[in-house]
Amino acid sequence: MFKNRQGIKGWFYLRGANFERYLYTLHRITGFILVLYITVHIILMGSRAFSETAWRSVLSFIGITFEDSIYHINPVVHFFEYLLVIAILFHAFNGIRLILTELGFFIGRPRRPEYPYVSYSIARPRPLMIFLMIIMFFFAVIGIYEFFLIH
Amino acid sequence: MKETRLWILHLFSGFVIFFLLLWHILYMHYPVIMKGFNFGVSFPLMFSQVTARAKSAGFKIAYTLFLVFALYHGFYGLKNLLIETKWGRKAEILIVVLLSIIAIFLFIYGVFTTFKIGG
Repeated sequence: MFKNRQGIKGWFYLRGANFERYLYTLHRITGFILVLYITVHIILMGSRAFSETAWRSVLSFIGITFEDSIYHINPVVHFFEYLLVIAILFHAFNGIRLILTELGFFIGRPRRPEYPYVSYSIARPRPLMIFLMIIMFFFAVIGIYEFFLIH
Repeated sequence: MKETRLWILHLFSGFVIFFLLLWHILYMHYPVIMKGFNFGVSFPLMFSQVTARAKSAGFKIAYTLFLVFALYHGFYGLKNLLIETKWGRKAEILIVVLLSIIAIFLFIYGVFTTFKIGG
């Protein structure tokens, strides 16, 4: 049975690692951040259940202020919101790749290792990884427009 | 076997929240672009908009499903990360119990806020 001898340190042991290994580490880091975020998010956004005043004061606390029928977001908060969206998009699209490969899709049949010993279990799903990362990148780019150019 | 089932549920919840999350991100964080496609509203954080969508049965169902799957996926994933710390078996049990309590509290609070606002 596989033993994780290095523990969490093993995530960062990347010497000689392929690109998917970097994505794995990034997936875990973004996952950890997102669990912390969702905890705070559920508690803060729950203020809407109490009153409009509570809702506004919580949003004001995180840098969103209301003025007539619109609201303004603190630029620093807005920037971190963008980073958060990127982390979510990365985790979501990389997660779909991990689910598909975990279930055996896009891996192909096992084959005899022959020179030059290309790892087909990594090479075969690579187009899927590139495709999903391109979609993520597309959302990130239109996010620049949404977050920074039209506000 | 039990762990295998929990892992499969982790994958399944990840697949479900992929779609719910995309919908949530586009609705809440890309409002101007999405308004161009006739989807969503320009200012989704306005209290009037928050209460309006919270009264919709579709939103209530989507939020509740989102809560169930996102909390399970997140906290089961966090448990898997934390037990890699090799703190020992007792620490593992403590981690599972603590994370379960936090996740259940967040679920109850989330459902309460989802349904209370809609009246």
